[in-house]
Amino acid sequence: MSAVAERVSPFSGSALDFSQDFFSLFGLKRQFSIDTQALERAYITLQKQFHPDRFAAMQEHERRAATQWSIRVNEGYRELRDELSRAIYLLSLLGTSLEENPVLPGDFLMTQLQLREALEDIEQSEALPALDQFKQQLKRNIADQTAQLSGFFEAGQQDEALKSVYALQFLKKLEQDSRRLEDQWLDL
Amino acid sequence: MALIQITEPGQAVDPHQRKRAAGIDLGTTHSLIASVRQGQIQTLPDEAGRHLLPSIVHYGLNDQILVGDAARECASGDPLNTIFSVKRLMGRGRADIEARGQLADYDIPENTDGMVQVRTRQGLLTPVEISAQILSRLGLRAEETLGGALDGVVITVPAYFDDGQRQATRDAAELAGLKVLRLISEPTAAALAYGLDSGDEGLVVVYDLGGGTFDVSVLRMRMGVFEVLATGGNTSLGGDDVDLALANHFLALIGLQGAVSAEMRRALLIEARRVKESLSQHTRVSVDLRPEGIDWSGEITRETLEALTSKLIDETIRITRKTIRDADVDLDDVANVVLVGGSTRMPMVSEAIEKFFGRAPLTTLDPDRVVALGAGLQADQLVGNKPDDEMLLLDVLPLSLGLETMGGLVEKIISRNTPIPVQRAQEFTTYKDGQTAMLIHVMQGERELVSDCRSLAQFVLRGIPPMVAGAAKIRVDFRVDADGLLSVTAEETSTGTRAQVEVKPAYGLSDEDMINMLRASVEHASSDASARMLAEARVDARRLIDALEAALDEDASLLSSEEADALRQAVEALAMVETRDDVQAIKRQTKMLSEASDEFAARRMNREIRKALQGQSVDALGSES
Repeated sequence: MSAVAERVSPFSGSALDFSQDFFSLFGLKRQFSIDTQALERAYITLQKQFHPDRFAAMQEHERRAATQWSIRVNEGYRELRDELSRAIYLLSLLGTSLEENPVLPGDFLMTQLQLREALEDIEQSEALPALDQFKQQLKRNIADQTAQLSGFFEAGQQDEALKSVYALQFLKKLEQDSRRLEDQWLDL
Repeated sequence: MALIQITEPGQAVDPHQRKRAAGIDLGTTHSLIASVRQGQIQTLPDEAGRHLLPSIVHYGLNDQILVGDAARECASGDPLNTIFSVKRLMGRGRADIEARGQLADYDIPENTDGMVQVRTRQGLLTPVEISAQILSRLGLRAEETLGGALDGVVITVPAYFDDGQRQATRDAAELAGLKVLRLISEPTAAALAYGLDSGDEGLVVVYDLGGGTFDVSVLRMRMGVFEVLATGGNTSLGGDDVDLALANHFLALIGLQGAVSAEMRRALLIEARRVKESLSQHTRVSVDLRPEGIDWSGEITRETLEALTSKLIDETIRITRKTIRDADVDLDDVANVVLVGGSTRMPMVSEAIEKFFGRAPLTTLDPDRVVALGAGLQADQLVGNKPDDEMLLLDVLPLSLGLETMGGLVEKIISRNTPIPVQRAQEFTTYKDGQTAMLIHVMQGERELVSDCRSLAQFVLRGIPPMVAGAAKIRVDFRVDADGLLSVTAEETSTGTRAQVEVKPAYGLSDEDMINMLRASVEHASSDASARMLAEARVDARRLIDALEAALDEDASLLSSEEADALRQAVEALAMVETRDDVQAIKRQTKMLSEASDEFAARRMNREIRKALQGQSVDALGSES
C-alpha cells in the first residue's frame, strides 16, 4: 500500500458541464474581495434547486445528475467561503499554482518560529489566559495578512499575493494547533 | 417543485392522487411509523391502538416470527430466540458487541466474520434480516391504514451512525420491500417535527438520548433551508446503560456476583427498566426481585438512580459542548433546544440541559414520537405531495473518512461535518516495479491510528498495467451521497485503464449476500411477493419510459440525431421487455436504459443550472425566499 500522493480535482470525465468557475457559478465577480452575504444567498438558492432531494420522486438519472451538481455547489461554497482557499483558487484561475517547498524570506520564517515557540511555551505552562491572548494576537495577524492579500490582488500583484498566501497558510496552521490545544485543555 | 421545466408531464402530481408516504423511526427500544393524513402528521397505531412497536423480534417454533409486544412476552422464557435492541448490532462486528459487554444477551457464534450473526432456532440471522422484520411490520401497518402500497419511506438513523450502520439500515428496508426516499438523521427529523423550518431563523440544538444511542446536532435555519452545522454523539450510550447500571445494582443488593443465567439477566433488566421509568414520576419505588428462588424486596430512590446515572449525563453534556464548539457558534446564539428520546423523560436530564443552556428545552411533543413525526413530514415532501414546499435539509458527514497509509496511520480524505453530498479524489501510485494490484483500506473515524478507527471496506485494485514503480497513477474517487452513504470508484489514469474494484465491506453485506437474503425472503413468503416484485419492476420501467419519451419530445435538440435514435431504440426495447413476466429482464433493461440516458439528463441539467441564476441580480437572490 503506497502513501497518499496528491489531491486531484474530482470532476474530470463527468458528463456534466462544470467549465464555469466557482465565482460565476455563484454569480460573483472573479475577485478576492467578495460579498459574503451574496455568496451565502447564492449557495442556498442553488441548493434549493439542485439538491437531489428536489428530485427524490423523479428518475434515478436525474437524481444522479442533481447529486453531481449539489456536490459541485458544496465544493464551490467551501472554496470561496474561506479566505485562504479562495485566494489559492483565484490564483489557480490566474495561472499561478502554489509550490511544494516555497523559498520564504528569512525574517518571515524567524517570526513563525518565534510564534510556534510561544505556543509551545504556553502548552508547557498550561495557562488558559495566555492561550486566549495568543489566539487574539493570531486573529489580528490573520486579519492583517488577509487585508494585505486583498490589496495585492486588487493591484494585480500576483507574486506578492502568492507570498501572502504562504504566510497566511502558516498562520492558519498555527490557529488550528492552538484550537486543538484548547480542545485538549477543555476536555473536548 | 423548483425545476418545473424538467418535471416530466407524466410525473405531475394529480391533486386527487396523493402518494402514500411514511416516516419510520427505527429505534433501539421501539419503532414507530408516521404519515400525513387529512393534512395532519400523525403516528399510526396498530389494531390495539398502540403507536410504539417494541423493537423486539421472537423466532418461534414452526417458522413463527413475532414482532413487538407479542415478542416481548417471550423474552424471559426464551431469551436467546428473542432479539432485543437489534439496532445495536447493525453494521457491527462481534468484537464491538464483546467490547460493550453484551455478548451474553445473544447467541453469537465465535467464528463470525464481518457483521455479526445471531444464532436462533430459525438459523443464523443478520441484524439486517431481524430489522427487516420490524420494518415490514410497520410497513404493513401503514399500508392497512393508508389503503394501499407505500410509494416511499424516510427512515431515521442516529446522526452519528457510520457508513456501515447506514448501509445496513438501507439494506434492511430493501429486504422489507420498502422504497427508501432518504435516510435522515434523528435530530434533524425532530427539529422538523417542531415546525422549526417555517419562518424561524436561528440556531437549534437537538439533544437526543435514546435507548441505545446519544446524538446531538446543531442546526441553522435560513431562507427555508435547514443546515446541519455539526453533529456529535456516541452510538453506544443511552437509556439501556441506565438499565444495565440499575440491574447491576440489583445484583449487588441480592448479593449475587459474576455469571448469572441469560434468563435472570433479562428479568433483572426488565425490572430495572420499570423502576427507572417509574422514578421519573416518583421519588421512590418499591422493588421485588424474585429471580430463580431469590426473594428480595426493598426500595430504590431517585437519588440512587441519579448517582448511578450522573456519569452518563455528564458525558452527554461534554459531547454537547464539543459539538457546539465544532459548529463554531456561541452558546448564547442558540434559540431553541429540542429534547428527543424516551430517556430525556428522566428529570435529571432536562435539569442538566436547562442548567447548561440557561433556558428550558422544548418538550411539547412526545419525545418518543417526535422523530417519526418529522420523518413523516419529510417523506410527504420527498414523495412529491407538497410541490410548493421549498423546505430543504442540508446534512453533513458525521465522521471523517480516510485511508490507511504506511505505518498503520489514517490519512483523512473528507473531514467530519463537511456538507454532503461531497466528492473527493485522491491519487495513488505503485511502489514496486511491475505492480498490478493495490490494496486500499477505507476507514471512518477521528483518530490517527487505523486500530482506533472503523474499517469500512477494503478495495483491491487489479489490472493496473505493469510499469516502473511510481509511474502508474491510480485515481480513487470517494463520493458520499445525500444519505451519507459512501461509494468508491478507481481508475488508472496514465493509460485510462479502468481498474477493477472489489468492494468488501467490513461489516456490511455484499451484493451477493443481499440477493441471497432477498431470494430467501421471497421463497419464505407467499407467491404474492413475486407478483409484487414484478408489478414494482413494471411500474419503474413504465415510469422511465414515460419520462424519457416526454423528455425526448421536448428536448431532442440537445442530442445528435444518432444519439436520439439510439435512445429511442432503447426505450422501445424496454417497452417490449416490460410486457413480459421476467422480473430480472425488466430490471436489467431498466437499469441499462437509465444509464444510457445519463448523458441526456446531464445536458438538460446543465442548461437548467445556467438558467438558475440568470435574470436575477445577485442582490435580488435573497429576497425570493
